[in-house]
Amino acid sequence: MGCIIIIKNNFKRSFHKKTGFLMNLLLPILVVMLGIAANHVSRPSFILGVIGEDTLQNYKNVVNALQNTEGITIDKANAETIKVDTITGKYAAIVEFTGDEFEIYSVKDETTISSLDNLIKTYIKNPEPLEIEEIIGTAMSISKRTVGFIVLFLMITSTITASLIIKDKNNGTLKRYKYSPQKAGTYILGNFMYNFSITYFQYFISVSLMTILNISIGISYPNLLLMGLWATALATSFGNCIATLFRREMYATLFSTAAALVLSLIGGTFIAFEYMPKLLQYISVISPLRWFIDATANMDQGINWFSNIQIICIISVMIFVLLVISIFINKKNRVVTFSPDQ
Amino acid sequence: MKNFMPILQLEMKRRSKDFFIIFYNIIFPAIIILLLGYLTSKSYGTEFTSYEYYSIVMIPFCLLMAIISIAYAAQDEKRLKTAYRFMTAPIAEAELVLAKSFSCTIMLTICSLIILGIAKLFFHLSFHGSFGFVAILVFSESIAVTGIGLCLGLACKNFFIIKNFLNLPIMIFGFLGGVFSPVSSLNPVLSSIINSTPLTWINRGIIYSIYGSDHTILLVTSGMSFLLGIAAILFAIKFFKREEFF
Repeated sequence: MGCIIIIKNNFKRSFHKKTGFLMNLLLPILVVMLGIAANHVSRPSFILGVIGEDTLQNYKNVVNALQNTEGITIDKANAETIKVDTITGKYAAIVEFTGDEFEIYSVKDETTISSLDNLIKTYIKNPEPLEIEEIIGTAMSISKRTVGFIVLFLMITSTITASLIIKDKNNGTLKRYKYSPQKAGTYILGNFMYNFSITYFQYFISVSLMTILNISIGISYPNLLLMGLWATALATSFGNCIATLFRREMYATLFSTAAALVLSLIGGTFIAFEYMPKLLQYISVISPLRWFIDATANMDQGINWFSNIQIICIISVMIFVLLVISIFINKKNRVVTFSPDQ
Repeated sequence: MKNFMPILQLEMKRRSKDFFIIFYNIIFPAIIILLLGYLTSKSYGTEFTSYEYYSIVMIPFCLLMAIISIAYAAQDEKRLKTAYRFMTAPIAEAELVLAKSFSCTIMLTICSLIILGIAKLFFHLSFHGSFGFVAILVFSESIAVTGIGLCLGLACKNFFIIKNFLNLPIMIFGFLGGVFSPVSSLNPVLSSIINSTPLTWINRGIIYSIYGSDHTILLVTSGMSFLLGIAAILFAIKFFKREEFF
């Protein structure tokens, strides 16, 4: 009963400030949609810059073969800006052809450079396009990147929604609540459910709109919605936990951005788990994003969300632990009236 | 402007004790450079390491994130309950805003120079004689960040609505500017989006200056950030009303 009162009260408060609430509701939808669209457009590709004269036979053969190689995009590079172009990532590597020789410039690791070297040598002998997985190996699939991105942003936006907890602390509502015959857990659960319903609504709308617009990331719509339940619950419990920790909204916002970023880095959002150094592979166990990305890899192969039973259990335990931490902190919080943030 | 110096002193004291500015401009970038550098160390060679790349891109990004800290710092009076004193004190609005902007710019520049020093010492970032140029860029970006932060904190009436969302556009700029991994596209739409974000030009400016000895992009970007910062500060002075401290 206590939970429902809190949910109702939170909705009433939010409706009271209509512009703020609408922004709160619509902006994350826009961001998630933009993220999905951006990930959809930027398919992983190895952009290779080439320098050489069109009259050279080697150059013509190799460039033709490279153009037809899946995963490689070719562009004419500028000989004067070789170093900066490879550092800024404009080109993953630049190949310069002079006579019968060629030279590769890149800031990439030796393995990638030697695979590229071998590929070009093969193409000089026989210009037939080949499969080149080892060169673009660290690039992640669209679905994995998109899921990583969505969970990261849900974690940040749910902290924004959870800022009602901070307001409660500062204007004395929490103090009154604590004097009433209610449990600390009820307060946290009520806020969790309120935040969950808003965040899931945002997730639902953005995923549905993307499906209507026919932008697919490779996971079926029902699977996406089911995964969203856990993703939203996790993001919400994370946001609530951070909101119970701080007394100023700025601290909560900045901390959630920093923490979510670190978790997504070690979780494998930016670089595939298999290519991480060993130590980070062990540490990544604590990042929920790693488990979502693992589940996405399974779903990519057509497996249903509920078949990832082990991953679902791990994520559920994480949600439970975050909720318990929030309840514990909320219980221990001294009820002093702090100067309000706004 | 006789009141300017005492207020500046007060603001400097506050800023130098501001844990969040120091944390998010020195410690946080160091942690992220270390983490991302280590994470991607396998995909970079020995001549140019992943630590160098992330030092170059992460320092301007964290400086941009400071917009949030500055926007809140602008509202210190509200939080510290000193608004009444400022309401009645015979101080010009310009003095107040200028003192805030000077203190924030100085503090941000110092923090960024410290993290650049840390990057040089621990992550072996070599400047190839361009340290002065990078320092100019950091200083101009600090002015722009301070200007925008003060505008949002002092001159924006609906601050309470937008304050929570400030980190979203900054994060998106970060993604597009290649802060998390080098970004490049031959798709005309995507590459024009990438080219329209400030962090792309800041990072490009630093890389061209250090590794290409071509300071044009860096100086143009610095000049534009400087002008933007000054314009934003003037805007904040014009539209700031002391009543907004409440």
